[in-house]
Amino acid sequence: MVDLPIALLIGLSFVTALIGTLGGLGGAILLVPVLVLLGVEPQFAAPLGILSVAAGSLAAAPRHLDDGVVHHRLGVTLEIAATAGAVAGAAVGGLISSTVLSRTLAVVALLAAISGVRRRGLRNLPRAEFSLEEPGEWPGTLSGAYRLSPTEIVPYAAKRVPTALAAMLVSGVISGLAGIGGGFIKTPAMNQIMTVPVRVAAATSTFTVGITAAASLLVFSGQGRIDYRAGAAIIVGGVLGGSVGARFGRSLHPDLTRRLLTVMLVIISVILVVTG
Amino acid sequence: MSDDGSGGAPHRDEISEVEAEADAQLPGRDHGLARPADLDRSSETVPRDDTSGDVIGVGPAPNHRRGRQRFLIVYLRVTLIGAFLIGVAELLLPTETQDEAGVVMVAVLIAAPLGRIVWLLVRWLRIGDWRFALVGAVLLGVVATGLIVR
Repeated sequence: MVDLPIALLIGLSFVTALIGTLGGLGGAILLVPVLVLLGVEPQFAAPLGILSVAAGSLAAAPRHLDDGVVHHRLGVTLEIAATAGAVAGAAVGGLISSTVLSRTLAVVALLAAISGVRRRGLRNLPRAEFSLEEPGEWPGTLSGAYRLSPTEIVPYAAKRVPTALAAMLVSGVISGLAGIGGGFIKTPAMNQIMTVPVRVAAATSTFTVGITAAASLLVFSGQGRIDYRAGAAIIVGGVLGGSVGARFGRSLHPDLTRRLLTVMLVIISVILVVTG
Repeated sequence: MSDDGSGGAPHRDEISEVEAEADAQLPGRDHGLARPADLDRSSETVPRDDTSGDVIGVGPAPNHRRGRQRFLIVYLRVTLIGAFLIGVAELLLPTETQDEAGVVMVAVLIAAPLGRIVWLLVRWLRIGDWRFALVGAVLLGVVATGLIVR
C-alpha cells in the first residue's frame, strides 16, 4: 500500500510534526500532501495523516490539562458534529477517485495556508471581580475562566453554538476525507464565532481532533486502508518531532514559522493541482 | 442546546473585547450552580480599593481541578508512551507478528480519547451534570457508528 522506505517515513513524520508544532497547525496538514507528492495514493495517505493527528492530540493533552485551559464540555458538544462529519468523510473518501482527493487536499492545504496568515484571534479581557475565580470550565455551562497572569482571570461564555456546530461538521468532513486534523477550522471557529479565548479554543481543539481521529481510524481500519508498518513509522517520527517542536517552540518566533509553513502549503497545493 | 450555550437561560454576560460591558451577572448562576468564588464574593472578605472598589492584593486561588485531573493526565501519558513503544516494536518485530502490533497500536490511539470521554462522563454523572453526561454518551454513540460504516 505504501512503498516508501521506513526511514524516509520516520524522517518525514519527524520534520512535518516539528514544523507543524512550531507553526501551530499540526503535522498532518503538511505530511499528507507531501506523501501524495511522493506517490502514495491519497486513500492510503489519509489514514497515515490521521494517525499523526491522533498521536499529536495525545502528546499535547497532558500539558493542556495541567494548564487548565481545555473546556471539555465545549469540546464534547462540538465534537458530535465533527465526528459525524469525519465518519461520513472517511466513508466517502474510500469511494472517490485519487484525482478528486488530490484536488480536495490541494484546496484544504490552501485554506490552511490562508488560515495561518489571517490568524489574529479575539482578545478577551480579564475582569477584576473574577480574580478569585478558579480557572477552568464551569459545571453545567459552556462558560469558564482562564488564568492570564497570577492575579488576572479572564471569564468567557461560548455563543452561537448552532453556527459553530455547522463549522465543526465541515471540519469533520474535511478531516475524514483528507486525513488532517481540521484544527485550522476548529480553533478560529471557536474563537471568532463563539468568542472563546484563543488559548482555550486551541487547547479544546487539540482535544477534539483526537476524537475525530479515533472515529476516522475506526472507519479506515474497517475499510482496510491502514498500512500498519507505515503507520508505526509515522507515530514514532511524529511523537519525536512533536516533542522536539514543543521543547524548542518558545525559542523561535511563531509568526516566522507560520509564514514558512504557509509558503510551503501554497507551493504544495499548486503542485497537487498541477500534477493532480 | 440553546444558541448561547447556557441552556436556554438569558445570556447577560458579554465578555469579548468588542463587548466588554461590565455586568454583575454570571452565566453559571442561571443554572443554580454555586462555585467557590461566588461564595467568596458573597461573604465580602476580599480586600477592595476604597475609591474604585477593585480587588487589591489578592493572590490566585488554589486550582483544585489540577488534582482532580491528575488521573487523566497520567492515563494520557501512559497511553502515549504505550502507543510509541508499540510503534517501535512494530518496526523491529519480525514480519509475521507486525500486523498484530500495528492493530494494538491503532487500538491504543482510538481508546485514548474514548477513555477520556468515559472518564468525563462518569465525573459529570457524579456531580449531577446530566445534560453534558448525555452529550458525552451521544458522542460515544456517534463514534461507535464508525464501527459499522465502511
